[in-house]
Amino acid sequence: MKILMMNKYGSVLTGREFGKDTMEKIARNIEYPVCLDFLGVNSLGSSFADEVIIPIAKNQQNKITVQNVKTAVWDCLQDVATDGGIEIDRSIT
Amino acid sequence: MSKESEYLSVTEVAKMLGISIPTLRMMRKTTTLGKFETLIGKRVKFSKKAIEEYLQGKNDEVTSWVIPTGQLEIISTKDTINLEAKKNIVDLRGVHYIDPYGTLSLLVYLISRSRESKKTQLLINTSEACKKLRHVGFFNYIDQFAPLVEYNKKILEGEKYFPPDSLLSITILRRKGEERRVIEQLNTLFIQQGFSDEIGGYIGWLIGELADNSLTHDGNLLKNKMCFIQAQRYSVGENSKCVVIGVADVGQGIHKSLKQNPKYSNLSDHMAILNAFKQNVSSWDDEYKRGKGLTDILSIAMGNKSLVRVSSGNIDFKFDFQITDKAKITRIEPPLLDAQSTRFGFLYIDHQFNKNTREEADNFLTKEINRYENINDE
Repeated sequence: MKILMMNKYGSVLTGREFGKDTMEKIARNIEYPVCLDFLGVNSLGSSFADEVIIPIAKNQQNKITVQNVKTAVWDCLQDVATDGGIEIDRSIT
Repeated sequence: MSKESEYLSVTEVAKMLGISIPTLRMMRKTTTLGKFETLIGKRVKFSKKAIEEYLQGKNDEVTSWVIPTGQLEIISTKDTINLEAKKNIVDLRGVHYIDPYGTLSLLVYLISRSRESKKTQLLINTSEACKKLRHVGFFNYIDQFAPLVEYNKKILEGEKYFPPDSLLSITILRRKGEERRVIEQLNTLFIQQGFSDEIGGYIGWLIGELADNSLTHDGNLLKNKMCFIQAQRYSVGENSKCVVIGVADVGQGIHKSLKQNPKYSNLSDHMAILNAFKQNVSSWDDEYKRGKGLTDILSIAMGNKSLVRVSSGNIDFKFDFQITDKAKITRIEPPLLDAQSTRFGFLYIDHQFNKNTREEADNFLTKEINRYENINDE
């Protein structure tokens, strides 16, 4: 599984439009399945996550794997996953 | 000069200061004004010279801050901060303490008045509250965005002051995405000032959602959009390291925005504000699947056992989650200020907690909204 380093897009990932822009960039080179690595990401907003997590999950059987997530980032990911009906797996690193 | 002409009556002083008699009564107890009074016969009189000097900001003493004790509170209510705002005069001279929610509420109130071509006279002195407002950039934004606000700029000239609870001065966002820079700055400040690692994650999340909402729904043309953010530390006792975050805009207000969706257009204004916090309730059509940001903010506050203040137009609510089984929503009346805008205050307690789910926040809201509907029915 490929690793996608989310900190390439910053340590603060908030805002729906920024999420859309980021997803467009990700979509150019992504190879599914992918594990999202949140190392160095301090803040994640649910609007941003809606625009990134759900489209990625849809391309890998409604599942998403994440690693190196801080508590607040994990809480946000869980909310988005529950709402979007996707399964989320936190890989231990 | 006759003895009589050296003194002013209570009514005369209230008129000179542009305040009501009950407010003057309060200011006599809480500000240096009380020192200018004397009893002549059975009547309270004030030294005319002292009052004239007071008006010029010459003889007011620094008022020590009233740091709230006991239960945590976002303390900017009309009663607690002693703010006098009526017609075209806003008197800050009796203000003891003002938090980011109060500061930003006042700022957007004055900007909104100026946008409506209404003149406002702002009365200030050299109290710590006024000096703090200067320190956080309040007057710079007044000068920039509220040209119809008049105040004596000389009063605070040369005053050097660093508020002990300073964290993030007032910062303006004009475009979406600018909040990320502010959150990064705050995250750095949290680390420097000894807060936990987790605080930045939750505060970044809530600022991100609130700023995104403000700049999406405020209803202004792009050039007129503005969202303000401010943060300060807030310590009560040894174990309560907290942050108060204020976020405010000069937009149409939550209730007006939500009622643009025909599904919610029949709601009363206060019900529209409460419903806006429910999951999947948005001014956008259902197909866009919006309306989660405010629910997330409540779910963080619930888990954090903290407080949220939200004001839209002249409606002001407090969500209090400090005691789990007594969590409730209270309408604050009278509101601090009546301004066409949205104002948020969020008190975040820096401790370990489990965030509540969106569903739990939704259930709480449903219960509280039902309670409000029953109150109205009665």
